[in-house]
Amino acid sequence: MLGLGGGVFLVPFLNVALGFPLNVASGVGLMTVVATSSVVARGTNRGLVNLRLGMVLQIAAAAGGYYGGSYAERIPEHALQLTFAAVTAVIAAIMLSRLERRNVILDTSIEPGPFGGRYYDGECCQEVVYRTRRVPAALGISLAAGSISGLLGIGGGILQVPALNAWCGVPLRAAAATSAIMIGITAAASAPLYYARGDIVPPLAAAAVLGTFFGSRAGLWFGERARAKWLKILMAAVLLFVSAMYLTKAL
Amino acid sequence: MTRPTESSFQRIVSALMLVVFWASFTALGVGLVLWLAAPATDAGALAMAGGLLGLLLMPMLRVVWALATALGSRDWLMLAATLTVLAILIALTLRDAATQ
Repeated sequence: MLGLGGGVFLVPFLNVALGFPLNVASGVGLMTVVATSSVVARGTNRGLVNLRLGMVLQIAAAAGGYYGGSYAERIPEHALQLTFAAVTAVIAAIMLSRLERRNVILDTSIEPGPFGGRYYDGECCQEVVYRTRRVPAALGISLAAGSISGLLGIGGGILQVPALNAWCGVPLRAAAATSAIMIGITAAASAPLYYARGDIVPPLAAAAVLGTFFGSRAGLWFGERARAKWLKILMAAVLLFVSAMYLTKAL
Repeated sequence: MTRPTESSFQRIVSALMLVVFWASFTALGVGLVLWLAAPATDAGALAMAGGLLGLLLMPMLRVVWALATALGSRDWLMLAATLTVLAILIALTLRDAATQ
């Protein structure tokens, strides 16, 4: 629904509530991110996915994903949690300050530019156009998102979707659909490393992935019917929840 | 928005993704049930491992599909970006294999 991947909830749940080590929780989290991406890629309206923008940003995200996975054991967990809590809280505040902005252009004669797109918007009941701005900033965010994905196993969508929407002019639905495809590729860059280290426990991963399969399909159904404003509020709530969770863990 | 017609290569990759998608989830489901029924046997663990590896293959197939899309639409920027992503993924896989 929001292009985040299930890892954002699953990793803290496995780590904090069930007591699994962070590397095991992250490994399983990455598998659920790949599963979410696969389900969304099959089920979403392809017009929403901006494959051109996604692939350009994916260069930074895949590189970040690898280095995040490589350095996961070297960065103090405490520092990582504090940084992540601060970043997610700031992004939530930005999302809430832009609830009424939709980033869509109703005049379809306007060219979307090199990284923009067109799609049928259910809320406006017509085709809409959007333009992507600040592509260098989006590349930087994708690098950070890829690193976060590799470090915490939660999928970079938690940074990518709100940033693409708030700073780069991509409508939330298009940002979520594009992110859903990208997070799978980013996670696939890190997951083999976890698999080879034995951090992905097959029964746990299988159960989590199967749960994600049904959850993602339900999310797609709700996401297509919900208003963009409410999706933004939900996204901000998720960000604040995650921020509070990591802050509590760090303190 | 009208979508360009898919090439035969894109259709093959799409069909492969569909097969891998359902085979992976089926293998995970069957493997989990077998493992719960008889944890000591290897069948469940093998099915789950196969399912997880199939799932990891999906993003790679999607990159190949994007490559075919870029070629079909003669979008050279997307083609270059997708080739770079594919090169990074292959390099990472080889490096991971070398470090194990």
